[in-house]
Amino acid sequence: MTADPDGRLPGSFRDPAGFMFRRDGAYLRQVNRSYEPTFRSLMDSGLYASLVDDGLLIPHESVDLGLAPEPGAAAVIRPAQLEFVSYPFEWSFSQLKASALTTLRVQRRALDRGLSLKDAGARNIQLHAGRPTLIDTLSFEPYESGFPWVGYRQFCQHFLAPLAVMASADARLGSLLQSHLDGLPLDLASRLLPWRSRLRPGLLMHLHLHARAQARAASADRKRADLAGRMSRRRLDALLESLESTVGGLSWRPDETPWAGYGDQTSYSSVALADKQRLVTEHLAHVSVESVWDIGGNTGDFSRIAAAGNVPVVSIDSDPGAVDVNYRRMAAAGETNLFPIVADVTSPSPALGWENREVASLTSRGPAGLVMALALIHHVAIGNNTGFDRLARFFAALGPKLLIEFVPPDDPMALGLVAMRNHEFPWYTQPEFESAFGRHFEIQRSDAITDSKRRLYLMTRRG
Amino acid sequence: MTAEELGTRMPKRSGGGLATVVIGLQVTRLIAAQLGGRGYIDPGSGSFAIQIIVAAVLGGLLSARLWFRYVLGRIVGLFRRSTPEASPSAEEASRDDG
Repeated sequence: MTADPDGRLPGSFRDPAGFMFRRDGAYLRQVNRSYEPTFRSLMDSGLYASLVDDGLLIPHESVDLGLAPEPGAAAVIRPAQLEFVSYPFEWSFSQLKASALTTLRVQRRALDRGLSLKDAGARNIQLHAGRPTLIDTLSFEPYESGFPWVGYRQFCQHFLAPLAVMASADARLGSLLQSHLDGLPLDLASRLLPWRSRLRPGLLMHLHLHARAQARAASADRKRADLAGRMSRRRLDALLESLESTVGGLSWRPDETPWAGYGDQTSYSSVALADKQRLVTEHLAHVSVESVWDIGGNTGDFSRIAAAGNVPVVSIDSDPGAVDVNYRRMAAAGETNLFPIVADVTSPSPALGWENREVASLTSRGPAGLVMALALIHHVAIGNNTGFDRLARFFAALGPKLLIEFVPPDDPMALGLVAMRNHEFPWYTQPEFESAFGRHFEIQRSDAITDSKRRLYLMTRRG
Repeated sequence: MTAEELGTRMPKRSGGGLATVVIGLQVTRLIAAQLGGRGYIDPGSGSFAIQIIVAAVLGGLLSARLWFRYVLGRIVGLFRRSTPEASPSAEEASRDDG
C-alpha cells in the first residue's frame, strides 16, 4: 500500500491511539502518549503474552522511539511482518468464520484482564502463520464494568451478517463486503436472509431484531454515560457466548460447486497429471523466488507444490467454493504459507475506502516473485476474449517470472469454450502464443506434458 | 446457480421453535418500549439498546439454567450421601445479573 509522504499508511488514520507507518521497508506502529496507559495494561496484565502464545494476536518488538514520525509518541513497535494482506471480501466462508471466532476469543480473554476490544472490524484480522490473527495491537480499551460492548454493532456487521447471508442465501454474497467496508448493513442482511432464519434465536436477536432496533434508533439526548451500569459482566459473557454459538452454528459445504470438484475430474489422464506435477516441481526448482501467486489456483493442488519451497503462496480463484475447500485444507493441515483468496483475474479487487487508499487493489499488493497460471489461459483468452498480448502484459506487470501452461485450441476444454461462441479464435494458436508472450518475456524452458497436448513454459520478464 | 446447487443447507433444528417465537415477541415488546417511535439518528445507539436487551434475556436464561441445575443438584443430593461437586452454588445461581 502506498504510504503518505511522511511514511504514514492510510489504512489506520482514524485511530487516535496510534498509526502504522513504513520505514526502510518495514511496517512499524507508533503508539501515542494518550494511549500509553492502555498499552501498558495490555503488556503488563499478561493479556499480550496469553494472546500471542495462542496465535490470537500479532507479536511485536519495541524499537527505537526516535523512529516515531510524529510528536507525542510513547512507543514505536515493530509487529511481525505480514507476508500478504487480504480483505474480508476476498475471504472464503470458512476464513471469515474463523476470523469471527478469533475476534470473540480475543474479546473474552481481554475482559478477563480488564480490557475490551473497541474495534471488532474484520480488516483487523489477517492470516499470520496460517491462522487468523488480530493485527491491530491498539484495538483495546479499558473495560468499564457495567458497560455494553462497543464492538457489538461492528461484529454483527463485519462477521455475523455476511456469514449468515453466505450460509443461508448464497456464498457469493461475501462480495457485498467490497461495497460495504463498514460491514454488511443489518437491514440489508435481514432482507437477504430466508424467513426461516428467524427461527434461529441467534440470528433473530443479533441480526433481525438488531436491524429493526437500528432503523428505529434511539434518542439524540442519550449519552455514553447513560450506558453505565446497564450490563453486568455475566450478561456480557452470555452475549459473547451467544454470538460464539450463533457463528459456530453457521456452516456452508461447497462440495457441489462447479470447480471445487475440478481436481478430481480434469481432462488429464493420470499419467498427464503426474507429469504436470513433476514438471511444475522441476520448473519451480529452476528459479529462486520470494513469493508465488497461483492464479486460477482452484483448491490449491499446485499452490501446495509451490508452497513446499517455503515461500508465501497466494492461491487465487474466482470460485468461493474452491477457495473454501482450499482454506479448510490449509487450516486442517496447519499449513503456514498459503493465502487462499477469492478474486477474479478478469476484474481484480479494486482500491477502496477514503481516497481509494484504505484498501489496496490486488495488483498493487505485488509484485509476485513468480506468477503461476496453470490451465487458465483458455478461460481468459477465449472465455473473456482477451488477446495474448494483453495477457502477457498483465502477467509481466504482476511479477518478473511466469510459469504458464498453454492449452492448445484442439484441447477438449478449449473446444468446449469455443463451441458456445459465435465467432472464431484464429489467433488462438501455439505460435501466436509464443510470439506474443515472447515480446514481454524470455522463454527459459518449455516442456510438453506427457499424454496431453498441453505445454508448460517458464519465462522471465524482459528488460 | 441457486443456493441449493451450491450445497447450502440450514442445519435442522429440533424443537425450540415455540420458545424462540415467545422470546422473540417478548424482546420485540421490550425494544418497542425502549426505543419509542423516534426517527433515525445513529445506528450505533440502536445497537447499544438491542445489545442491552438481548444480553438481559440471555443473562436471564443463563441464571434460569444455573438455578435449575442447582435445584436439580439439591434434589439429587437428597438421595445421595455425598453431594456432587458439579452443581452450582445457591449464590452463583441466584446472583443478580442486572
